[in-house]
Amino acid sequence: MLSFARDRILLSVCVLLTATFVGFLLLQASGDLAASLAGENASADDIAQLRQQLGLDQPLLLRYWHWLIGALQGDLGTSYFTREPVTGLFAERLGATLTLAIAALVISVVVSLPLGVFAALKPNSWVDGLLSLLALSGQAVPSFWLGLIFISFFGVTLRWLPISGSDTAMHFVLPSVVLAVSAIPALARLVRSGMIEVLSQDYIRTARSKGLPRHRVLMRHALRNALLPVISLTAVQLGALLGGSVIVEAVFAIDGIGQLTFRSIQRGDFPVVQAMLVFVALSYTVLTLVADLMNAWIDPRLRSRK
Amino acid sequence: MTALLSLSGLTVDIPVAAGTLHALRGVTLDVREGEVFAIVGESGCGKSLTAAAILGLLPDSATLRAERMTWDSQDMTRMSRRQRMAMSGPQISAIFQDPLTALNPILSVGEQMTEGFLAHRLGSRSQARARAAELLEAVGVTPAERRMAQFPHELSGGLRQRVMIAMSLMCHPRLVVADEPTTALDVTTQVEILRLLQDRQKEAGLSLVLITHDLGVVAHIADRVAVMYAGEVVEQGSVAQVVGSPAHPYTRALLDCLPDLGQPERKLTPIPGVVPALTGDLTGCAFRNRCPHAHAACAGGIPWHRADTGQGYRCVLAPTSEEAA
Ligand SMILES: Nc1ncnc2c1ncn2[C@@H]1O[C@H](COP(=O)(O)OP(=O)(O)OP(=O)(O)O)[C@@H](O)[C@H]1O
Ligand code: SF4
Ligand SMILES: [Mg+2]
Repeated sequence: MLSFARDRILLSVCVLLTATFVGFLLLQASGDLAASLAGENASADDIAQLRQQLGLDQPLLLRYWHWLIGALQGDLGTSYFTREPVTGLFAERLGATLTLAIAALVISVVVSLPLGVFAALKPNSWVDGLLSLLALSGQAVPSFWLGLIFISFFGVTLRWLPISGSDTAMHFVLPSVVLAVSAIPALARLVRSGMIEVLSQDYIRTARSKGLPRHRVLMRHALRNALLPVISLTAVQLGALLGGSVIVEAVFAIDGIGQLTFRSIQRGDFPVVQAMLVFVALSYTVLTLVADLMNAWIDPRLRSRK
Repeated sequence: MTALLSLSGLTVDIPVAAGTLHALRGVTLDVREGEVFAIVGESGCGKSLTAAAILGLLPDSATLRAERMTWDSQDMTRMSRRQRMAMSGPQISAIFQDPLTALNPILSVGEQMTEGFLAHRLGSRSQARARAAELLEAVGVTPAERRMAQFPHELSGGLRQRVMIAMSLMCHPRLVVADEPTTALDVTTQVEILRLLQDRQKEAGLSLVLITHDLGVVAHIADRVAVMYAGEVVEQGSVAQVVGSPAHPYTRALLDCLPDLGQPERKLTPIPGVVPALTGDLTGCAFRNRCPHAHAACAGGIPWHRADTGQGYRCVLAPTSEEAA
């Protein structure tokens, strides 16, 4: 297990370096940053000066190197626009996005697991049909629409919950439910199909032949096996949620990572976008790593396979 | 001698796309205390479903009916789910065909061996482990302590089946149902596993229902045998009777397929024709489209002949005419 973990961690570091470098390249290639920042009326001199000021006249590899050294020390540069350190901009918004993402994920998992297991126990029954229908509508409903419906019903009509901002825990209830609704269908479906497949396996019959209580067969023998792909999908979903949801953050007026990224892309704030890229790459890498380690912890076959 | 397990007129229907599959059509057999009882027959004749019915593992969609289904004189059809579950392990246990798929890939050998023992509250965790270790040693899975920490994929096919055998003995069952326990193994291992199974059965004094389609195996280790065809038992008796003087034309045809019993030079003759579909209403003898002795009477009711010796068979041919045939 230890050597498995070590190998996986080394691999993750390589992936991360590659991702940041490619990201750096792509952003550079997207156009002359100095020219677009200087504005339409700037003279060639102005642009050249700005370019020098921002260090954009240095060779690409050197710039990546400087950026990397800085990044490793926690310095992601300063925003071209607000002149604030990028790390600070992120730190201010990370809390809201993290809270939202984790809350949405917890809701999704808590709902999907029993839903999927239940549907798998009686495949093609009316319960199963109802669940498929709910899952389908969950996926089909756009987040902004659901968000607005929630706001008008729970916020305005019933006045149960606040509808905008991120001051209290209550502020996160509606947006995280909206995010969860879009995450649940895929998860529940995966739990269902995984359970159906596992329940038809020979080892389930063996477990039953031992006279084990039904719940023991279900949890210990079936669910544990069915969980492997679910863990991987959950990691990917959490990664996506951490990237921030532009729409849900906008609808509920939460100033999170999604909003920051959206604004920065719009105005070509290179350091912030690059930092965002690192953040997304880092979250995905770490989450995939954690998921792989969890799966290896559950399934011994993954540990021994190199 | 009274039977430990007694089945009479056992039918199992399974709904399928084409209607209802009459998978078992009146299976009748008795398994006595301490004997090896073999069930033989071609693929699809209902051997595994008979095992599933005995083990209480029929698919949910299946309907079971029986004139009699008793365990130690108790009516199994009237047992609650809980009572049946309490039997699985301490009374009846199972060994399945493919030990790789029959063992859970993500639980260690030790966990899988002890969980039944613990679920039936037969002792403490350390007692369970001690029993598991003792059984593993006995079936040659050594060193037991280290093997218990291993996972199925780390063992060879033969070792896995040994684990299955040891596992089936954990709760001191009185009957072990082994459904083709050697089919998935290579030939040398098959012999070892069968011998091991027989040794364990003798030593523990338990009954063994051995499902196989190999009459050679039957002749070797079974005391009595039931021959199944198209969902029913067509002949039953001691191995000496059934293999030595088969009464049913199907049994004879099966024995003819066997190259190494009888004259060694004899060619393998597959039985011509196919098993009838079990979805429709079957009347008369199900073997009559393949039987060399088929005649008009075979489409009617088929009697069960029972000799004083205990050998019985389902056929219109009179006991005497079989010698002539
Ligand atoms: N769950 C099920 N649903 C539908 N049909 C089934 C099911 N289980 C078994 N059958 C059918 O019932 C019949 C008897 O099956 P069974 O598995 O008992 O045969 P078998 O004698 O064990 O054959 P084999 O030697 O191939 O293992 C077959 O026609 C099979 O297709
Ligand atoms: S009943 Fe008729 S068809 Fe069936 S086995 Fe006997 S002789 Fe053959
Ligand atoms: Mg079978």
